[in-house]
Amino acid sequence: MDPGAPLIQATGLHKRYGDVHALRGLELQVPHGTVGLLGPNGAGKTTLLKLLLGLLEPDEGTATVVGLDPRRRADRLTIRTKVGYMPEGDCLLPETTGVELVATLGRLTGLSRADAMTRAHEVLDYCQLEEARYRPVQGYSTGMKQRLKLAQALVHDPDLVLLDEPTNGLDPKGRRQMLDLVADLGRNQGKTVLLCTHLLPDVERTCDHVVLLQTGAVRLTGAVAELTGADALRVDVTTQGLTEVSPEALDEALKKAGVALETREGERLRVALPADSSSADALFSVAMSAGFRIEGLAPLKASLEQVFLETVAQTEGAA
Amino acid sequence: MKASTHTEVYRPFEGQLLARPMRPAVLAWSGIRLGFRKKLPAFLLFTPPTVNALAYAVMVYLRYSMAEQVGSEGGFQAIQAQSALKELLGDVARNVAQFAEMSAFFALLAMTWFGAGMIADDRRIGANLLYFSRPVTRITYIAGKWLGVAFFGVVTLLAPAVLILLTATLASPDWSFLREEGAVIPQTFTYAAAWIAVVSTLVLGLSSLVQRRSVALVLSFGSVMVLHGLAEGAAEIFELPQLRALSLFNDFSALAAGLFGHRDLNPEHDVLLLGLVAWTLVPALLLWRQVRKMEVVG
Amino acid sequence: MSAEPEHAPSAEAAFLEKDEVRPIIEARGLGRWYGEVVGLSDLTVTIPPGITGLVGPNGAGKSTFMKCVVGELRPQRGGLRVLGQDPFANRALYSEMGFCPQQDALYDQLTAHQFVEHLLRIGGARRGDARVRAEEALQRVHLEEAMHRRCGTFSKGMRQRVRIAQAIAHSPRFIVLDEPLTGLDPVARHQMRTLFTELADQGASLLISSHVLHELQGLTERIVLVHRGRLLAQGSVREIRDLLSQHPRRIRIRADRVRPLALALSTEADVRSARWLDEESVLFETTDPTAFLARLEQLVPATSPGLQSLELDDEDLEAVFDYLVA
Repeated sequence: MDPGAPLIQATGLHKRYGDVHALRGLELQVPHGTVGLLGPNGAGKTTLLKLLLGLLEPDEGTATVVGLDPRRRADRLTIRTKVGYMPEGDCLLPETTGVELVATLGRLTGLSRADAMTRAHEVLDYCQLEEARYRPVQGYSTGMKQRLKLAQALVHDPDLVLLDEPTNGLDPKGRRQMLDLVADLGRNQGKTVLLCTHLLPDVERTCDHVVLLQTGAVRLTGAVAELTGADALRVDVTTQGLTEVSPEALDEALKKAGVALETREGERLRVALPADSSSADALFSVAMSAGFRIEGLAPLKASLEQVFLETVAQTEGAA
Repeated sequence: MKASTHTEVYRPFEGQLLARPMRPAVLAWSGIRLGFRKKLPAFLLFTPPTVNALAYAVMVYLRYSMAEQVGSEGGFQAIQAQSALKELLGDVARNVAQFAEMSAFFALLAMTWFGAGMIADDRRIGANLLYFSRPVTRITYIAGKWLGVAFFGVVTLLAPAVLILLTATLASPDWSFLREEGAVIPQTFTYAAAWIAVVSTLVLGLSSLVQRRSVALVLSFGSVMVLHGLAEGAAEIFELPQLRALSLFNDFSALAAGLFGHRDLNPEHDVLLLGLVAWTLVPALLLWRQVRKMEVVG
Repeated sequence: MSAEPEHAPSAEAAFLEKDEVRPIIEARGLGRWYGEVVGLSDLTVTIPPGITGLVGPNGAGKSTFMKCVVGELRPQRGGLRVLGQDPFANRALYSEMGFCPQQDALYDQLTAHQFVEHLLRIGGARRGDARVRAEEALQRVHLEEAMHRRCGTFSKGMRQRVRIAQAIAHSPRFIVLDEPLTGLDPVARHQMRTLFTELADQGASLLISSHVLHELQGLTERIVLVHRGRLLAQGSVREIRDLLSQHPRRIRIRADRVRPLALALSTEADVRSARWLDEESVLFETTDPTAFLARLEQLVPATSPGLQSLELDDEDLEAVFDYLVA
């Protein structure tokens, strides 16, 4: 297979379960790197995952996963040796130890005994499960359990890694550890990672691309940076001392610099810079003449949440 | 030497996957290891069949060595003594058959205890997702779990039987056991294998129905015991001996009688063997249906 | 326990009047163990009306605290007043409080509507009243279409909405929500956050725990941070950050001509380090952000460096949390 080709390609995918039309002409090309798979509940994410794991065949349309066709019997099991899957649920028998679990699952994928042991320890190192790997899973914290589940998905060194809600139930420290691993897999280890999550801040932090699914079709796809693209001329300003400044004084200072006020609330301002300006330098003279201090400046950016909610609302409006 | 550093934590896998990785065996072995994690149940379940097997082995050994001693003196007295001994200890073949039927109960205990959680636990916590996202098919999964349960039957029934058969073979003068009563060897193997196969299927079938090991345990042991009681009772009350075929024990008595040919039966074999088929097929179908559901990522 | 007079009518009236300014929760030295496992060890905190976020690592005691507050658990030491009363097994207080627990405890054979109605009836509502209120609450959590289906058929997110609905159905004055957004998709999260703000605007007080700090940040400024069963910090993120003077502040600047600006800014001793992130951005660590920003204020108009953005890097809840817990 051509190394540059996308690991997942789908055209016109349909899947029905009885009356439920789960996928409706899904078109998808997943680029390399870390990709967020988003969508409201019931959008078809689960069906897509099953299909990518070779557990399902599409009713119509074609798909290739890691260059193989899940409709061909012989390809289906091969797909699963090249895909790693981290399920959402608990999944871990309380009595098993970390190494035992990872090594057994490695052997089930087809690794030899020696390879399975070597790989198990390597991926456990990678997932930062130190001596805990020799203890039964029942003593693990939620964060350790999640990292163990990630380790088992990596034991056979898959090209494509599917992560289903990997930060569920984690506290901030555990979440950051997990997200660092997810980001590293995509950016430094050359894996294609498909991250399914409801937590959009996680996606903003780790993913280069997003795919938004709704009612069985892709509604939005693109680079995170582009979708949340900054508008350099509109700036959010955090200040100190703005509450003391009268509206008139602020107006006057803004007018002098040719800056338009959009909103003002407490210590926060949103302003529009003059169309010909190439930087926010002018705001400092505004601050000086109005008598407040600037503590932060950020070009206005759409959050992924806004993009998501708008897209979903549009589709619903159209339906 | 050329200086180099190797600081990467994640390394790509350069090797090859095995062409025939024996997945069922890997799966079975992981189930068996989990079974032995708790020492006390293993001790309680394995001690009685072991003691029993040793007792029978000693008995068989004594029978041959005493017969040899008595026989070496010759004369009428010796023949009389030999027949008295035979009456007291029975044929070796009869002993083996007796042993197999007795150990079957120990095997039932061990297989239900260790097998009850095999699928129920997977279902409760969703471990099936970890298996079916790998090149593990439904057949591989069932075969792996089945071998795991069967292992405990082999340890408590087949292995002890082999021990006794070996003792008899080696202790008998001039391989007389093999020559005269050798037929009992395939008979015993068939009986033990059938019991292990049927009980393993039953335990797994019921384990796949529920999400708690304890419930599966009660279900599988209970269904055997309760149906036995019901079958016996109902057969008495309605005077329909055919109803006895509902009991797994009765069905296996029929199999044993057919194989070893040492007992009269009521009713006839056919009905009982039909019962046996039902005891195998119903759990097997349940198992197939449930595992099919588990294969799909939820 | 203090010897308060039994509720004489006049005392009752005075109590209600005072309630406007009274804190919702007053906890003093609260402790609660499960055998030898610590849930809360010595928590002292006062929570005023409004929305309050409750944050802490796993096992910090958030859920234990919430269960004590709603009267499900009795603290083994310390004193606790909720709306001025002892909450443990206090039936009168139940009607003023709503609780959305973390545990997934619904009756699968009841419909969502029956479930909420049933709980309202147990709480003492009349039949007709309960039916209407249950319907209203389920509409507020956007379950109007599914409310007559059995809970057993619901997805995780829908079950979570039912739990929220039962917590608000009787229009309580004070609502305790333990991780209310878990399992919800982004659309539902947005709807629930809007609902929480609405409830607060209508005068209810809310105590909300969450792991996703980012989400609390949009709801409320007021954070209570618990750790190892004790109060670790409280206040707005900015206030808490200002108290952590031992950690130098990180300031990130992006500008078209960043090198001369960075050099000019780094002349004073408060700058501990400056690191180039790329050709246009530098990350400073400063022990005196006020002085640093004052210099910047002088330098920008004088040198026109083409400033694009200025960020106090760690003024978000997550960074503050890390400083405090690590």
